[in-house]
Amino acid sequence: MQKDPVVQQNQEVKTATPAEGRVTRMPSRRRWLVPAVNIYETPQEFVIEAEMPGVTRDGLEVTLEGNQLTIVGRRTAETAEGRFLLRERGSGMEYRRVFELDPALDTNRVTARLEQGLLTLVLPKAQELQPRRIPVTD
Amino acid sequence: MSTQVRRYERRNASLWDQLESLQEEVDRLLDTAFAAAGSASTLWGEHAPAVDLVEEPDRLVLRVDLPGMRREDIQVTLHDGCLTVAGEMRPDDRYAQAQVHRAERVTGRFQRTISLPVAVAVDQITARYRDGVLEVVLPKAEEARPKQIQVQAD
Repeated sequence: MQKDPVVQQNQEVKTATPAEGRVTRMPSRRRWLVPAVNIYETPQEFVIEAEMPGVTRDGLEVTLEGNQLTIVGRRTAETAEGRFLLRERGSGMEYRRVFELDPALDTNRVTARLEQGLLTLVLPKAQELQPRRIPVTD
Repeated sequence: MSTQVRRYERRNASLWDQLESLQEEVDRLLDTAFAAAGSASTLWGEHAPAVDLVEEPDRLVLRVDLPGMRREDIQVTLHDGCLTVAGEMRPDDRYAQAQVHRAERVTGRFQRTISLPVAVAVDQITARYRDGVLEVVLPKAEEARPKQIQVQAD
């Protein structure tokens, strides 16, 4: 039996209505920013780092539904007065990304930390998946 | 037999998932590419973070996305009416030994130089790094601020 403890990337697909507006530079059906992520695996855990600059703890939402982990970060509103001479950051939007977790991960022990716009999620592997040293006897 | 059919369906679903992932990935890459192309000054092919420059009546506000950095790794300099934000995004040593499944975050040196459209009061510039966003506030120089001129009647 194939057992592959991976954290897969997944995403929902929703079509954007014109009213919702799109701030991407290319025509796209997406209406949120996809945060850049790094995913690491150590013998004990998976670690997901997601870049969400401008998101405070209040604007962050990490939800676990079955094996689907969703991260949503809403940027805090910045000053509305004045005019933009450069606008590349796509303000007013939210970050969103969905991950499919391996069922073998211990979802009860997931921890999240947000530091300077970088979200770090630590997903420990279930005990039985962690490497165990087996003593060799004669 | 029935398990085999189910597995086949699941494989199809995951193929669909992968196609959607691909679409998302292409969108993201294009966004990144266009952000880089649109940025003013990357002479050395360095990574250029996304910026907003807002002009308010009496000041300019520059905001730069720099997630997950240390304050001391960011340099802000003003020279000849050009503001430069530079620094280095360091990879996390903790995961140097780990297996990497995805590496989308950019590491290494970056630099962005913005030519300021108006004269600024050099000694009143403030820079603050919060929630992964660098905010530089540049009050306009006295001569660049809008002024109300009193209309006098004889």
